[in-house]
Amino acid sequence: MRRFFFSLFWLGLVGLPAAGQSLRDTVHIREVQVLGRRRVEEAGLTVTRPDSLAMVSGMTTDLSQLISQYTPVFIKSYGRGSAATANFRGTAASHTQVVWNGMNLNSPMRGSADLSLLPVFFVDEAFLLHGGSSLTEGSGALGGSIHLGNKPDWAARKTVAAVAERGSFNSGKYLGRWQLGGSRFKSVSRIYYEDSDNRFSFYNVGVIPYRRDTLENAGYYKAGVLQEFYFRFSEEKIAALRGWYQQSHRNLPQLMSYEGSDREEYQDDDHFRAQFELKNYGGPVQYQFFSGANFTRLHYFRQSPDLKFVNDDSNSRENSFSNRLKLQRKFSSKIMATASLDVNYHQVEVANRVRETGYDASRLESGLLLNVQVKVADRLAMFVLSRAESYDSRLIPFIPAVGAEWQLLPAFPLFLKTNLSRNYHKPSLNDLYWLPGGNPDLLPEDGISTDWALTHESQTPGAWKQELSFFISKINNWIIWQPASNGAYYWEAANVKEVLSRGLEYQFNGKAAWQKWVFHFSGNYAYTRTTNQHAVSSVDQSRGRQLIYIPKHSGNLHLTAAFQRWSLQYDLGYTGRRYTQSSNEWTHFESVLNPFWLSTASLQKQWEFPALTVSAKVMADNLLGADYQRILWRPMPGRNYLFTLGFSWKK
Amino acid sequence: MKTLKYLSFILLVLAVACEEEPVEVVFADLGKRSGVFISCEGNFMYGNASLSFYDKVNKKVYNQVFYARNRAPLGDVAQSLASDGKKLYVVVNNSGKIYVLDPVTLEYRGAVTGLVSPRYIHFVSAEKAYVSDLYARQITIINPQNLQKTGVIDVSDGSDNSSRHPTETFVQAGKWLFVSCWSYDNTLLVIDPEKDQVVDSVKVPKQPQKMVLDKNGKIWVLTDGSYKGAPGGYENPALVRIDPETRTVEQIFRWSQEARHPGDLDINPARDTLLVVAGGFYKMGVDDSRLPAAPFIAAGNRLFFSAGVDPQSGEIYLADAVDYAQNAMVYRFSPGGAVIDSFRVGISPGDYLFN
Repeated sequence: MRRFFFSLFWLGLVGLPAAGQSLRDTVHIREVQVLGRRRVEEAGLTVTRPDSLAMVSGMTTDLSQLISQYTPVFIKSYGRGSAATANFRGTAASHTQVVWNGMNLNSPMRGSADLSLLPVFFVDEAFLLHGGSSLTEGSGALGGSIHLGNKPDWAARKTVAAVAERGSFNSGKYLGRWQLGGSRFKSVSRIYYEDSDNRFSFYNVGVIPYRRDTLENAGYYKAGVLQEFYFRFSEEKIAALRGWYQQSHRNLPQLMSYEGSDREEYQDDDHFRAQFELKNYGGPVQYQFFSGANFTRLHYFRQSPDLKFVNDDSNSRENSFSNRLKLQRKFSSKIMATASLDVNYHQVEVANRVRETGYDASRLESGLLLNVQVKVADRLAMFVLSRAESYDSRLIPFIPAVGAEWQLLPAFPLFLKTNLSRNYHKPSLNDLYWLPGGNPDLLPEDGISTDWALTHESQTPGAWKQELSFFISKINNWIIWQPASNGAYYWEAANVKEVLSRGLEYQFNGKAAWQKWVFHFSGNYAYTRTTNQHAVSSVDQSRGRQLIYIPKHSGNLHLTAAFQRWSLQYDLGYTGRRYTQSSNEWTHFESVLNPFWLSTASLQKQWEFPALTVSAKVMADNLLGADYQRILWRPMPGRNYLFTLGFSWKK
Repeated sequence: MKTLKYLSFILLVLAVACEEEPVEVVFADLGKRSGVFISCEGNFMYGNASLSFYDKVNKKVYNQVFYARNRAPLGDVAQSLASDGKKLYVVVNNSGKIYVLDPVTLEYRGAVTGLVSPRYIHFVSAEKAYVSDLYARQITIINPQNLQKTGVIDVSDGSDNSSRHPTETFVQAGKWLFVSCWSYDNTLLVIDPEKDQVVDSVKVPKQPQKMVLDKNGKIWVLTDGSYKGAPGGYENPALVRIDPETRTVEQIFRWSQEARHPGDLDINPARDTLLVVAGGFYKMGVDDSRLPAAPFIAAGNRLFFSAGVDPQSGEIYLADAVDYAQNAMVYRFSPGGAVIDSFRVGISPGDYLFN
């Protein structure tokens, strides 16, 4: 299969016209949309940017759907509207850092970020830094980091966009965005609301006798508002002020095998994020400063209403304050350096009213980055960076990374990128202080990783691009929750595993025209082998086995055919076999989740008027009615439909 | 060339999807054989509980026997097993139900559903059984004949949730039925099975769970002491001897702070020796005046999770949960501690029912 895979890559290489293209000489950091050109500040980094078509297609979805469809990152989702986390390169959810305009959105309490609570509509640009490449922006992303950004449309004075979507299971989404202001000031406002009864029919093979059931207690709503103000003092100096409030209520359904008394179980999340950002692209020293705050409230509740018995009534408060100063200096046309200083403070309160348990904890963390990028030759650029970080009373003085990017042939746009890095990840505050089982003696997880990537892109922007990456990383002191070492009935956090993660990622996208037709095609494939290298006893069969819920194979294919104002899109996704036991047992039916294919088809029509665009789209999700489970014994809907109506006006 | 590229990718995706299907599990009627049923809890919220059967004579284990016979999963957290001589009962805690099976063929015969968090079942008569519950603040009364719920025994003390009585295991001493109240509790309730009423209670150290009756008619209770930082406080685990006649605590044997947390309590067929899983596997005579200093079977790097003692032979079945995320290893020992056999069952084997 690997032979086949490489054949495909080389087919892609030889099938396109060669064109000379050197690494760009300019190294300034002005905000520009770079397509088909190399950015020296990204030399040696493995970066994925969902293209603009993906952003438009996924506009009404949440970030978990965008990432799972348009990047090689595997998303572990509990179903429609439910929690979703990223398993970047087979690592744990907490090993993916989610960053919004420079501010980390991972929960200091849990360590991870719920991507289902991040609407794509609230984001103007997104990119992923894979593995050690993430060190340029922060630490802790042993798998990688997801970066989300906002920016105004300076070219337009006023814009208004609105989208309404109705779908099966009494689902609805309503999105609005409007921008006001002139050349010096912009105000961008966004609002969204979505809800769903999420009561879908499924064939329940988790009970006796089998029966057609309806998923109960799975409804949800999410709502949010994002307000941005931008002040342009000069062409090169911009200040931004952003505030984001979001609220969600999600009922939590039971497993298919549940036949007990009625349960009321739900989770409420409230987020308020605010940030101030100042950027200066001019002068010999360019700088970016931001200061932000992130307040999160999480309420988990479970009761048996028949008996009026409350099992859990837990409230968590997370208050985080983030600050960064980033300086960039271009010493010559071939050398530039970046330094950044981060100082963050997190405070967490957890209280379960019923169990009378909880904890209060805080964390002060700081980090210093020095990064030097050098263009060694016309076709070779390198970077060397080092981070020093501290948290609580622990100091990690040296987190190094080196990388290089080399255009292999002068007349052919084929680039080899590589980097080698050390990285580490702090235990979450739950890992340290949760009662019972938190372990204040936990060490940070420590990893070393390397990437090798071949990138090829056509000279014509957007016509063809492909990238093949190989990665390998070893993570020591991997934190897991396991039964208490003293034999108690509860679980506790411990540094017990050594995990080896290696694999391949392949991505491509392109565009072709035939008569009045325009075809877009893109896809990705990931082979991820993530294994536990540590086994305590001789009977432990988990050594060398794939971590649970991580597929070895996953991929996506997207095809779009556009004819005048019509477009037809077909998406095909594949998720390979996943194990639910650490020993990768697969002889038992519930020790393995079978592979599944999901396909989606949509038809869209646009009407263009002066300054106004109206569009209508109808989409069939799970087109072929696949019967599958993302999480063991949690049903997923069959074929379902969405109808979307949108308009945008620009002046 | 471009067509070839599209086709290549589709073929690639198809190629990676061609994987094998799991192997079918096949077995014969087991209930006629001499052996032990073992319920495996699985992982909480995974719904991967299972039922195994070990054939003592042929030294052969059959896993996933519930699914193999009934083509449905057992559910989420198989807490305990029981038999009334006519049917086999599997209490599936987080599925809120009890599966009732033919004891020979393991065919589904029915289910008691609509429960809150069932833990253990105790048969009072052919028409009456009690089901303990972690969260219901009541013991559910069922009729094993028709599997209908016929009533409840209110065990709430009238205060709010934090002082509930989460009922756990049962032990019958003469006319009276004792039930331990485990989670954040420190009480044994005394029930009159004729009147279906709580008639008395006994205060014991924190978190009483497993109980056995010895040859002297005394009740032994294993308490785990909760955990450090728990709202009601923590204390060292203990073995507690109760006189069921006077309903008083006669003696408390405290485990030292260094000792591993106790997890399971059994008694040998002669009912003169207590068998305790507490890191290692310990033996203690019911007339001994102190806790054993050294384990009868040392754990080494094994995670002893539960034990079952054959009521006829006295052989010991001791489960190593390994990492609690893979099929566990069960060791079969002679009463003298010699290894007879070892075999794998499902995840986290918790209860044993000898056939």
